[in-house]
Amino acid sequence: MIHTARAETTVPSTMTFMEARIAYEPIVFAYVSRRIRPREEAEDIAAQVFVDAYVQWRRLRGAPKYWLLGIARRKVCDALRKQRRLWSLQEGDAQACALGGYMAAAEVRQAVAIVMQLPDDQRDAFLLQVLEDMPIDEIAQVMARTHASVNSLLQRARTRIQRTLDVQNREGLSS
Amino acid sequence: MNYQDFERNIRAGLAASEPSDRVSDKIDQRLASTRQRRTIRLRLTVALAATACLTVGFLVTPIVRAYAEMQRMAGALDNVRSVVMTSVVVRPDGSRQFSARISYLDGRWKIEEPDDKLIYFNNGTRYVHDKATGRTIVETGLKGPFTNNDSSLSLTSLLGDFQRWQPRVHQTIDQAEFHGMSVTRAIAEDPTDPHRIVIYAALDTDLPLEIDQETKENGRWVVTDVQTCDYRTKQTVASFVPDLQAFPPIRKEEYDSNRVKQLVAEDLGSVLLNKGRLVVRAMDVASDGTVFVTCQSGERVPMWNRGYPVDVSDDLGTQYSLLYVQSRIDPEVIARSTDGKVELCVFIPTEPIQPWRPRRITVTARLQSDLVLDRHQWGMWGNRSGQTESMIWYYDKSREFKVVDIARRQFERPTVNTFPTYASIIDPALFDDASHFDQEKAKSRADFYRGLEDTANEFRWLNEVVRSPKSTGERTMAEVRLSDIADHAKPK
Repeated sequence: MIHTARAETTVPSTMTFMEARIAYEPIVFAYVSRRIRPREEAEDIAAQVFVDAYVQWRRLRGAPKYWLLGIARRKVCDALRKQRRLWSLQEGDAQACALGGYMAAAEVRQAVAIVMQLPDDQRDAFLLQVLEDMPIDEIAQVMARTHASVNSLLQRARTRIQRTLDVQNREGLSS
Repeated sequence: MNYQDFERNIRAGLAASEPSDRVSDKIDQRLASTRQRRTIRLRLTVALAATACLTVGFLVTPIVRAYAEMQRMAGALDNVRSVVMTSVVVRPDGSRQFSARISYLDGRWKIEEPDDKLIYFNNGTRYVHDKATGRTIVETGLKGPFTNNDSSLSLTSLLGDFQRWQPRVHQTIDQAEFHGMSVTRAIAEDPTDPHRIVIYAALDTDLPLEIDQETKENGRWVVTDVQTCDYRTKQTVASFVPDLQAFPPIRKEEYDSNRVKQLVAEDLGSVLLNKGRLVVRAMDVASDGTVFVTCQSGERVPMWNRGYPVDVSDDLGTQYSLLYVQSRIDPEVIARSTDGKVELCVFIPTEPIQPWRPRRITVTARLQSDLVLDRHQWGMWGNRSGQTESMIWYYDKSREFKVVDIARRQFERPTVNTFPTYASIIDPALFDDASHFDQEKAKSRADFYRGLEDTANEFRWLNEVVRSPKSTGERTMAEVRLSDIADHAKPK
């Protein structure tokens, strides 16, 4: 099978802005809110995604869902860079983790920290797969990359994560 | 922790927030703000489009958004062998001022503009008499004097074009009296735009006799531009032949190439980068204080403008806004110089500095620790209030940098009146005439104040754009009234 994610993006969409907004507002907000804290800021960024989409709707090619998520992805990256801070857990998440026990909460924090150490592209591809349950073809459309390129990013991300986990597990055993 | 636990922990740690109506409310709020600003923008764009129209020809529309789109409008003249189209702008006192005359005869074109600019087109070749150099600049292989489409001059074709270019356009067709005779009248308008065109066409031939552009001012439609089409004037082929004796021909490529060669031969100062060097090739200051800096940064990739490579400051403490310029990117030019593509940066005083005062201008650049050039970036997104259509200039503040001086020059007097001649080689669309450039400067100032969220000054400069003589026929409008725009945008 030949994957042509980039070629597919040249097909104009017949969806109107309002239809896309109704259909994908929850998905875009979910995407942003997983990555941006506090919630108010995630709301602002999600809103800005749709304003930008409205302004540039005539340029839309391909599936609106992936186009919107692509805009959201860039906005999240910009916001994270500007904030110069790592993603943090939601208060509710942290509380839930605390109830589940100190060790569980620590593991969650550790997992998030490992993801944050990944290069931007690897991190984005990995999280689109894990959090958004997206197949590789869809990730390719969001990231404007080829199927092979996304596959490579995912492989490298997993390898790097596994290596970090191995090191941490060894250190945990030895200590 | 194993890999499966890891993924589960990621899902737990980065769970999505519960959706709420607050996101929808924020989107609605920002879209409302954007739409209002967009309407004003549209009006300004229309003003610029109208300017382009006068140059381009007989099709005036208030709904075209950019010069490039305007260029596509010039069409073939099916079934019409000869026509003279004269454009005038209508002053507030009702008097009329010549704007352009476009003559057509069996495939030949002649375009006369008020500043004695003369353009001929015949058989795919465009001839421009250039007074500055006394040469005729010849460009071949063109589809039309402007560009081409398959439209004809018939009313049906014109209205079809409007519908195709802008689906929101509303058309009203009826019969009206025009200079004592019964004609077809077609009105094409966009409900969100306080501009419209009115076409008067002959009943029998369907050919337009007059095309008016109207602007809604203080609640009523006012004619601001009139283009008349005369099909009866006798024309001879001789009047469509350029005078190559008085103005010897030079190919456009050669003309541009010579000018670029002259430009890149200068070296006003440079600094080494991790790849190549940043070198300033030219510095000019116009009479209103606008600063032009031309430089090369070693970049050889013919990509779209990536932002400004330099900044300027002066000893008067002037604050500058930036004007977006499409820099010269074609590979031929890049290949001629070892220092990469030629980039033009235009710095506009946020308020004009007049009368003239001598000043010392310093060109600086920001370098990152690895000597990578830290460019001044631009973006279309806006601030938290939902202002999204401005040209925002910014630096990526997360990077470490140092500022280095590259060139410094004392200017006792302005070196150019409006803009340097080489500017039109770098961006012919922007630097086509002084009034168009004035509009662009006013837009940049408006963008600057929008960035500061200084609405009063932003609107002051937006008004300046609309008041420009080229766009309104020297019509002094009371002001851009938001109520006009808002009223007009209401659903009917």
